[in-house]
Amino acid sequence: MSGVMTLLLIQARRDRIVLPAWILGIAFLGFAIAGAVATEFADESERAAIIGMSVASPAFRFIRGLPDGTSIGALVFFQGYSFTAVLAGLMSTFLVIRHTRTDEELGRAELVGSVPVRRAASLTATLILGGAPIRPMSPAGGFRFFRLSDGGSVPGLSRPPIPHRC
Amino acid sequence: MTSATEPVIDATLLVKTFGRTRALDNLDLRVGPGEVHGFLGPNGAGKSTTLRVLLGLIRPTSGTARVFGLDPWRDPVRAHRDVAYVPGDVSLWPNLSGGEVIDLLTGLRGGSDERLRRELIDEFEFDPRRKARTYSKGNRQKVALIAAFARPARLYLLDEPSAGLDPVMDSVFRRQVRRVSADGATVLLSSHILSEVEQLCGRVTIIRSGRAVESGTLAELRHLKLTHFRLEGADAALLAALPGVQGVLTDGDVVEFDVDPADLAPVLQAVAAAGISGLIVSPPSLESLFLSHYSDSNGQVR
Repeated sequence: MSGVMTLLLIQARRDRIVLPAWILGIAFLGFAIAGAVATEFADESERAAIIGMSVASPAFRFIRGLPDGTSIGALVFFQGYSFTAVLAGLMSTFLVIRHTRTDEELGRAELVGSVPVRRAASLTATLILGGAPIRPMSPAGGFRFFRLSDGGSVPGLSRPPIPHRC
Repeated sequence: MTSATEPVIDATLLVKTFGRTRALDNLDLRVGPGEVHGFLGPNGAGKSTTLRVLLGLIRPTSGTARVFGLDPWRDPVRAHRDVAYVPGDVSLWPNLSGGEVIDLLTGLRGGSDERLRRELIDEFEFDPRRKARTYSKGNRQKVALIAAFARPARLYLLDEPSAGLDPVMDSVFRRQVRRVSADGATVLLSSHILSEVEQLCGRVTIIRSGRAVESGTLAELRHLKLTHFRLEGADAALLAALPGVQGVLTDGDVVEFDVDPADLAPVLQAVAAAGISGLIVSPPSLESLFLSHYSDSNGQVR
């Protein structure tokens, strides 16, 4: 396990620029989406109209899922989550490729492969780094900035949204 | 773990195929404890593949490999406990410094000997603070060498370790190999340069096309001690008739041949009398050895 910890630290160090840039970028995007939605659809009636329109289209429902109400929080989530989630997915994909495939192809994996740690140690470290709690939270961070409910924006924590903006 | 007589490395009938390519073809390799063993072969002979099998980085198609009596594929953690490895082509993480990589690799092996690490960095005249992306090939090689030698091991697997090192650093490297060998460690040194192996190794295994063609001490492999002559403007027939001259090749007025050390004096006299216009004397290249000793008349390896 000590090998995993060492590898985790060195991988985090390798990504000390790239990873914060991704996380802050996605968080900023969440922030921007929340801001845009809040100004564009300030009225409950406007929000109801756009949600009604979207729900009527099967293609929209397929990509975005079902809306969670007509509050600002629900609309921001409905409009922005699938996009930010795809970005977060890309970030994780690139992260894993960087630390596995690229290392193998360039022969760096051999250096680590010759030391007495389990074969899966490096991958384990990468998955821990990729699963670090800050990362799935990053879109939520942007939404939160607008003091919106995070209901649903963190997978697994979904609950009915608070229907008003403080 | 192993008794004194049991080989540290014991590979039997190793076969590794990559698709239709047979990288290893029934290779046998035995390295006893405390040996500095030269693993000699031209490029593409299967040296690196063998080392990767011995490290458990790849699984042999068939045959068995044992390191300290352990199967490196099934039990890499225990097999690697006392192993230091220097890959043939060192590639580093561009945004880590050389010192960080050295500390990572020795740290994963259980931590470096601080004094050794400092001495090695001094001796190799290495700047560990620079980022790896700024290192030349020689400097990247130094990172792997320092990481390997900075913590004592019982087996050193070195894959063409001096490639990219200048002659001064090469001598530092040879000194380190002698030091760990004096401490009782076993070294497997792969190389395609005969003179390097000659200087360091007591025993040699010669590999060609994935097969060990010969194995023994340097004294047993006398033909490795030959001297290679390249003459211009000499009469080939005259020289070929001399005792001890072998593998004569003529190309226009250029004659090339190998001479056994015992027969050097008469050959030199004959060369002096032959009225030559150019002379190069060198140790035999591995290629010429392969041509003269390890191939039959069709150029096929025996």
